[in-house]
Amino acid sequence: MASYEFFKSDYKFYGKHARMVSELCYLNDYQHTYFKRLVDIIPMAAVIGFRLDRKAEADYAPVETKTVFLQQMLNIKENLDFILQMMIMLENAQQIPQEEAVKKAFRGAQTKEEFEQYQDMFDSYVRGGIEELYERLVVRKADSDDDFYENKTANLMVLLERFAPR
Amino acid sequence: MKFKSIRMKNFMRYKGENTIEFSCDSKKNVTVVLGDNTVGKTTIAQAFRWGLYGAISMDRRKSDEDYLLLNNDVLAMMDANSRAEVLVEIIAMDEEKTYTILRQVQYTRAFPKMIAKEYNKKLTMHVAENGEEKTGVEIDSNKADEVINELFPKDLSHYFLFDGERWNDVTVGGVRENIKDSVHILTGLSSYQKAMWHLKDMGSNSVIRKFKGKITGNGNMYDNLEAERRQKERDIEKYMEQIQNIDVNLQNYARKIAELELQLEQNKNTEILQSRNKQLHILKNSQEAQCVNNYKVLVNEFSDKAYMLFAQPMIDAGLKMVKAVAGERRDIPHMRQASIDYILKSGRCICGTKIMPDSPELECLMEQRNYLPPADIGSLLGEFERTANRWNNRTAEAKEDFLEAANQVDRSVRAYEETCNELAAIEKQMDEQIDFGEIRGKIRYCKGEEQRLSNQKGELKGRIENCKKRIEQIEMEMKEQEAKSEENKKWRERVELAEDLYGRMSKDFAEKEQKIFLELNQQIQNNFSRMFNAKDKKIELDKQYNIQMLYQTENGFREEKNLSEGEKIARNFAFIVTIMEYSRKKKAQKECRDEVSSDTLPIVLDGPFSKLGDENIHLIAKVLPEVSEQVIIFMLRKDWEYTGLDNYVGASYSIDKDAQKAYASIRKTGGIE
Repeated sequence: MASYEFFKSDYKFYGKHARMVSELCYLNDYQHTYFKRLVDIIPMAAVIGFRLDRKAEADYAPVETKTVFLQQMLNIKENLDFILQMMIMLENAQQIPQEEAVKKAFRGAQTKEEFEQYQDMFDSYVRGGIEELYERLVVRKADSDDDFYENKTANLMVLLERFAPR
Repeated sequence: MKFKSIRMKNFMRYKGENTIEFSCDSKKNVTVVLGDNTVGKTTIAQAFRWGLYGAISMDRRKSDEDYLLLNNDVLAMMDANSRAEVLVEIIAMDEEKTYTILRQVQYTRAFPKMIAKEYNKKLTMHVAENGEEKTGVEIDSNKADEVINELFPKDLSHYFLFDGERWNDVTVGGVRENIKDSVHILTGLSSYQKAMWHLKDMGSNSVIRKFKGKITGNGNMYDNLEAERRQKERDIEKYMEQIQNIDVNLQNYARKIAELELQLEQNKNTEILQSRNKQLHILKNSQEAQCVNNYKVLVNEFSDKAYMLFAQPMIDAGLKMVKAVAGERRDIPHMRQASIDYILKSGRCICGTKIMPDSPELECLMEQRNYLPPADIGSLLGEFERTANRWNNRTAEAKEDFLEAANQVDRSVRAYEETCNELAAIEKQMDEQIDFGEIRGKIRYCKGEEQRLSNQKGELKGRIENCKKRIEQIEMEMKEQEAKSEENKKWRERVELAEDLYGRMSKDFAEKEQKIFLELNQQIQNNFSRMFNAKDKKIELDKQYNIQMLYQTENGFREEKNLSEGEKIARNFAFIVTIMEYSRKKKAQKECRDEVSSDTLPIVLDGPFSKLGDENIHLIAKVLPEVSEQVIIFMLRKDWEYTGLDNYVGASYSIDKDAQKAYASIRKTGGIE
């Protein structure tokens, strides 16, 4: 079993990504928020970032850091582990034989370097996903071709159409 | 009567000379002048009015000084010594004669100001037999106005010269009080009225009174009676004057009451508004809560499951890899690591082979051991599959659920916004409401005054009756006192004759007036329903010849005062057409012809259709060439196609105005352009 465990600490958003997540999530304001909680953005952003192969560098613009606390992270750790496992498996499958890639994915991080490498990959996809979500949900304005009248709903449904399997 | 041509020189927007020759063809009797907005269509209508009557506008709020007749461009080119001339020449003809009316005015400029000063006005008129225009006679310039007024009665100019803007006025031409008089002129009743006025109605200067004054008597008694009669007559005149004043006030109060009641009528739904407002507020709050709830469902669903759904392609690819790897390397079924450990411990395989350290057998067993539960990978592979299946199961219907939740949000947001809009509209309406108490108070006051004045009027009428009775008595007494001379007898006979004549005329007048009123009313309704296919509306004249529009309601027809622009125009148009038809019939009767005469006044219309819908334009336009022997229309180019008048057009013109230039010019066109 892996000696290093992921997602056992606070998760922080910095710079422009902190600003973006704060616009994607307004706590308890259901008319304006796209996500129930900040923590819900992480798996979504990770999946979308990975699917579009969109990674983004960390940004350290002076914006108030947004933090998801450990307790919430632990609640979704299992799902995040699963996503990370898929990421390692699928990303490595490009370079090494499938069997090795699968082994790597299930063995997890054996060294500090591996741990940081995987962690970094995950975070880059999350940041890329956040940028994508921001563009598709916050920036985009619903147009008359959309099936839905209300802007937020229209954007969510366009996102659904794009990413849900047919 | 037809207009043959109009020639304008430097008249308002038209610099230099412009002439329009109107179609005098009996079939193609329409002349159309097309132009875009603001190029000067109305100016031509004004040229007609000025040419005929020397006045530009019938609008009472504006005097002729408000208009500069001289073209601005011409004025700008003038210096202190130059002179400029404005003229309008109208040539008209009937079956026998040609009339040339020429009105001119000379201008100087108060240089360097842009002010024109007129210094010589002239009106000349020439009448000649048709075909012999060179001969004929000049009408004395003092008489010219009078002759023009006979040919084109100014009072009727509301009916044959219109500009579209005034069509929607409260009454035709905005001259409410004159409609009845105008109708009387047209129908010939005004001459009855004049005769009756002359005979008796004007009072102390009337024929009958003067005749009576010729009769003489003897002695103080007679003189006293005569003095008393004069006194009574003066009293009657005084009372009549008071009644006239009261009538004016009564009319004002009636108008005021009608206006106020209309305000109440328009706002009668305030109470309904208020309760609706309250309901809507409650509805809005619950809809708002519903919206938030629906948003909540959508956001929660989305936050919880969407990423699992979106991860589906990753899961599929991952599962495929895992299955490929597992398919090749799958552990021996039901075997566990402990089984291998047992074999190793026993030192002999189940096939009997002895297991030596570092032997290939041991290596083989150790590798096998790696894939057996609970070794890491084996169990994790299973774990991966289980998680993948769980995610799949959780999101099996997620897409449909999202769509349903989104639809719910959409529906509730729409409903909420509709309610908000309705509320805003109602609140706006409520803001505009006025103080009803105040209006009702005013109505009460006006009605009270109306009542008081009516009583006063009744009282005065009573007094007049008393005076008249007293006068009758006095005259009886005077008759007895009268000197029995031949001279008196002669005047007595004349008085009686005049009284008889007056009696006959007033009876005739009353009968004819009633008949004309009924006929006109019938005809106006026929015309209205012929022109505008409206089953639920009709129009009617009241006793003062005001045109009312009635709407069908459950309790029969009821007057509607709140009319749309189109309805007002349609209503007035039906009236105008009726008047024109009537005058035509009247003339035919007068000349004892069975066939309805074709000689009537031409109709000159300025922008009549600008406020009408396409369908109504057609309905109105198609009756024009039938009701008048000549129709001259100035209108917007874009509206022409709706008139359907192409087959009636005998002459067409276009007004051109270069955007760079301040003046317009008129160009004859071969057809409609």
